[in-house]
Amino acid sequence: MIMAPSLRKFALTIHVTCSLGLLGAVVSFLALAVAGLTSQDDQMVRAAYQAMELIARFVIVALAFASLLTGLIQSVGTLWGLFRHYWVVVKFLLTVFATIILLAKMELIGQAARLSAETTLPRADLSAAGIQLLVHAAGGLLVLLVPAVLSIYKPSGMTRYGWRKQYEQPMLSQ
Amino acid sequence: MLFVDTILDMLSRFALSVHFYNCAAKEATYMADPLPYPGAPRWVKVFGIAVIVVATLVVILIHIGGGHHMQSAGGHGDHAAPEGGH
Repeated sequence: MIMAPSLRKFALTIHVTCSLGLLGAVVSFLALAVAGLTSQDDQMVRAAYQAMELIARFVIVALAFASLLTGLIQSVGTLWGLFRHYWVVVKFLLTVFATIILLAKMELIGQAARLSAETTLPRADLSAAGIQLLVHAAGGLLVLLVPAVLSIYKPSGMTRYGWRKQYEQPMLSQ
Repeated sequence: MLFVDTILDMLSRFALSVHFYNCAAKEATYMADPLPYPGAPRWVKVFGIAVIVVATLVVILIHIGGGHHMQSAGGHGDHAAPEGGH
């Protein structure tokens, strides 16, 4: 079902907002991970890991699912389709991959937050967790930048399914 | 009169042949096979190779590093809980 132009623009606005919000949230998470790893101030380290958990749980996860869902609606509701163009397929797969890795790392984020709340700050354990979180945040940022670039450039190239559909539709309309 | 008949006959034959030619052409338009699929574009192949290379490097790094270990939250024991995932 193809959406009406006004509805399509509304859905696109929500999708762009969620996707860019997700990128911004991951950047802020990365900044906190750097602060938690490099700061010598215990209060700063504690605050960083607590904030990271809050941002991950209530902002990044929510925006990741919102971006995925609105992207699906956007692809199904327009002529682009979900599996017709390679750039849409790649974007979809990368977003799904990033969301799965994010969910898998939520336990580690919670663990780091719990460690940072202990009376005596376990520096060694926190830095081990902090390095992992930093690497994953940086990797996640790179992975999420690819869909942003693909959305803007929309590189050509149809999948075999899209190629077939392209010829089926004019035949049906005749 | 015969001349007129001959002309009409020739014209009708010509019209018929044009009609059949058009039908055949239209049928050819309908029945023509679509263009063959050109294959995946270059950027998809390059991207796929890059993904495979990065995934292989990550797997190698994880195996060389022996995975990450971190003491469990509130863990006062001497064991290190293996971290889930990678």
